Amino acid sequence: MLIQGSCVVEELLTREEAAKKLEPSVGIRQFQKYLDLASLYLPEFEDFRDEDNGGLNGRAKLTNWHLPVLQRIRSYVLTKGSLKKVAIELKNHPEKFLGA
Amino acid sequence: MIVKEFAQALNKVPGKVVDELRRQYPEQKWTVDSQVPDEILARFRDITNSERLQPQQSSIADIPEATITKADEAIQQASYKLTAADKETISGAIAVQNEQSKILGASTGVTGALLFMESLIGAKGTVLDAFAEQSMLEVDNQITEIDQSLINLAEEASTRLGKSIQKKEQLKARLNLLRERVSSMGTQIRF
Repeated sequence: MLIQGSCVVEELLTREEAAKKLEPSVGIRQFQKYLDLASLYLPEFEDFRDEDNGGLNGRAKLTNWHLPVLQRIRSYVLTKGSLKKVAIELKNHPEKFLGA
Repeated sequence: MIVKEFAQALNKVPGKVVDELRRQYPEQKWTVDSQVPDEILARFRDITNSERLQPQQSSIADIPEATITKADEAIQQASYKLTAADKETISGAIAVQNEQSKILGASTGVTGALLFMESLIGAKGTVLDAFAEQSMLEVDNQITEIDQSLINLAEEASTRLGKSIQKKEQLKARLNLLRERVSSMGTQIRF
């Protein structure tokens, strides 16, 4: 049987491309802040943390699979207005940002 | 004490300590120059104290074994090491099993989803096929009905035509009769 339909394939993104893909799009600096928070509190983003020195790991590869979580962080920042509130929410309810 | 000094005391990279503090206390801003709160320092002292105590306790436990014989001690040590290695192996095996279950779950999920899609598309196809067949049947019926109506119409038309021809003939006969009467009237008048 032939199954027809579309299928999302993993697509590597640069930080700039990913920042532009967010709704509404953000600058690269703001994007790094979201990535920083995500990697600090979400195990799925552990790769983006520098294991030896702390801080962000610039070599970790970003793909389209990371976008939905970053988009949730983006939206949350928009509604709450501060990164600190997002950080607290990420620590207390990480599942809110993961979701299916 | 600031974070930098605290990291030095812990023998850790300051950046990692900052990360950990941010994780624990997201409501505060942390840099390598931030003051480490007293409660953390106190907890840190507790940990270092208990670490210092633990080896003492274990050395007390070791003493009676050491006094028996050298061979016994060796066996004991070996068995300790084996137990420790065992534990690691077991926990490793458990981790592998967990990983396996995870992958198995994912693959089962994918298989299930594919099966679902397959049967969905199959069922959809069946319904559409049935629908198409039904509508074809309906169209066929309509066509035969139309054909029948056309035939009826043609029949009706020919009957009508036949009837009017008949009437025409009758009319002709009547007309002739009329002519005859009129001519006979003429002859009567002449007489």
